Amino acid sequence: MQPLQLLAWHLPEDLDPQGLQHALADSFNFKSDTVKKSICRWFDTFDWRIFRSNHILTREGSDWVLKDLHGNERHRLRGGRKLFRFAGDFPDSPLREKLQQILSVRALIELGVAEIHTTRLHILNQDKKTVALLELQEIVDRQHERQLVTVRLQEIRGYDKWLKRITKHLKGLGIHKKIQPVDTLEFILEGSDRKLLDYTSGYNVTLEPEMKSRDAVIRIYRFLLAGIQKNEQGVINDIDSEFLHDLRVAVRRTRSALTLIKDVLDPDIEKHFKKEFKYIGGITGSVRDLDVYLLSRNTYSAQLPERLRNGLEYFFDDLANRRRQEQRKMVRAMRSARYRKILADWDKILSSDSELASGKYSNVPIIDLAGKSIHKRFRKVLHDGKKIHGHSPDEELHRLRIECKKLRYSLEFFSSLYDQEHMKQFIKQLKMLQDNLGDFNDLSVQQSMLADLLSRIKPGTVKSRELSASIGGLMTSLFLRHRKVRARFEQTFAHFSRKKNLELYHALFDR
Amino acid sequence: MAVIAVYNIKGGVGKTATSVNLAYLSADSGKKTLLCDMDPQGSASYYFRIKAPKKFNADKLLKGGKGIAKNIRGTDYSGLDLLPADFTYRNLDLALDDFKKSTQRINKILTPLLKEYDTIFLDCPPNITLLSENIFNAADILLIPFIPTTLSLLSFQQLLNFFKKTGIDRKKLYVFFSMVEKRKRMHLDMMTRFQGRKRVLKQSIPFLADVEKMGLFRKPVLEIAPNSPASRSYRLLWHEVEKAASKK
Repeated sequence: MQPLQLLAWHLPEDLDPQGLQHALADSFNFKSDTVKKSICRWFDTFDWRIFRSNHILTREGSDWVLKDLHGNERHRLRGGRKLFRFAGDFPDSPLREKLQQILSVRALIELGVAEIHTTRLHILNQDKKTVALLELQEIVDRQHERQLVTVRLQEIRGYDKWLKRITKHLKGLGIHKKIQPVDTLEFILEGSDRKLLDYTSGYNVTLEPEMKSRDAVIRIYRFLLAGIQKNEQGVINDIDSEFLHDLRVAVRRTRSALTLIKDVLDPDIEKHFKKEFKYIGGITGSVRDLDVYLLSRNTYSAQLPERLRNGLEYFFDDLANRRRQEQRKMVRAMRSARYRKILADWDKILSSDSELASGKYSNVPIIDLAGKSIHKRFRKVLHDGKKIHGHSPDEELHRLRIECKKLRYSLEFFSSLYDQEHMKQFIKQLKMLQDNLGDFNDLSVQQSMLADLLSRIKPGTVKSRELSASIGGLMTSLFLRHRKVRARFEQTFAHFSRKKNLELYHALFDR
Repeated sequence: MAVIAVYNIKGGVGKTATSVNLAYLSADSGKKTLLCDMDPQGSASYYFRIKAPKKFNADKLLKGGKGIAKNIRGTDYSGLDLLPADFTYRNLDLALDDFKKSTQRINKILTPLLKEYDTIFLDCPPNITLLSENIFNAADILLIPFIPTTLSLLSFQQLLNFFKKTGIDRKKLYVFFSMVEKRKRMHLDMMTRFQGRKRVLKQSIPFLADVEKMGLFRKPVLEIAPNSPASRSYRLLWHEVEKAASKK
């Protein structure tokens, strides 16, 4: 069956809701319901995941409603008084399932709130049957004394001819400017300090090949600094784990650029800020490590029999406590004079035009530096990777992982200077190698966490014996997976360093 | 997901009132519900103020598919749609005879609708014809309103025998007492006799003026007098029927 139409228009300035009702009464019979008032709140993650998945999430009264961008309701859930932040907070429902897909680990942030005054008119035929629903909606932003008035027409199955008649009549009254849910969202955002899609994580800086290196790196550093600044408040307010993650990635990229693209700014400045950003990486490290452990909480719990889950809970509760302490420490450090000075000074350097901040390569075209930097990193990866064999210590794979990251960062920094299709392909090839090394690292980290957990279990009870046995079981399965991933390394690396990729590399970077 | 047919060979026992009020409650509980008015008298359609579209007729119904979908109408109540009856339905049994597998035709046309609706109610005409047999086959639940008198019992026995003969599953049958007047000795006696029997529902619907008012107000009784004894009785009845339906 066809979905029912829901049409919506702006109410033009020269018409008010009363005036519209009078105008309609001349041509249609209708009965009106009493005006309904409700509070509506709009939500999305910091990086607009819901909007980017083509949905809009609101809370109308105590109902959570997920609509698509055409205004069709996809899911509705009657909620209680609690405001849910994470997908897992929602009661088990189709809405929760959908949100889990979209949100992953991110939290919902309230984008704005408004009062909605709805007057519903039932348009009636001769038999007094309702053949269409016309709603006049005033969306009132009390705080800023603004409002948006819309006219919505809901089709009733089997009465599409009426829909057409009424639409035509409304057009005659000057009501024809369509409105979409995104317009309402933008109206709400106008009263806030945010704009639609004002943040996405990920690196996106375009450079021109003949740009002076100095201008190019400043553009890169500015982008990364903005990333740090945008995420700061979310980190301090501890909204979700991704603020810290994104902030740390921006810091890591900054450090990487300072190392990879040397002597473009004054070398003393580069050296100084390398150290200072390392400090920032340092003060944020423990919280991130604990976040990563805590994110695995549900996965491990699900792999243990129910009666043993309590033991695991104590361990994770302990981690959560430690995280709270580390979070407080980190926030203190982020509010400290040193931290503020680092970012203020860096901002100043990136804004100054003066020759102070330049090194010997500052006027060299960026394309030259780019090639050199990428080449250096690529050779290191090939060289170190080739040396690894079946009996090499794990440490060598961890080091190679870092080298691959450096190569990846330099590819990303300069990606806009090269052929996009080929660059995409090459990065895809590198990603396969990085995934193998990343899994390897991840499994190592998980095994040490479990070993740590094992060492903290107080022995002596039946439960503690069983918990230890289960942990041992988990460790074994991780160990086996770890071995499998390790065994795949040689093949994965051989694939990465094969002739086809080397040709691709040369096609991309030889001038 | 269930097809619930409200049936009795006798007229005037409360079939339409039952279909309309239970369909309303089904939609109100969040289930997307379709009420099919199968009676050429069109009483259910009348209650919802819906007339069959001019181009709709018994042949279109039996053809199924888009021909039906186009003719479904939304009632004034959220989640409740109606397929209105047409006067040409008086010849449905003749039209059915032309089909191969003439006793499964209704089942066939309802199956695609179960993708769109959680519950489908069938308000049946008061007779026993090929159409009725179709409905017996298509329904998951055959709900029988039963005025507690001797003659009613007789026609119920006839129905049981018919099921035995045609091999239709007796477990589909659910009987409830309708238009009960507790001041009548015969009603009380009959109800006592059948209390606790397997296919007899606990809840009965009393004879109440509010239910008759449905024809006046042209609304389900739950909209006319939501807190009345009539509404309460239908809610309790729906609760029992819903439970039975969830087991199918």
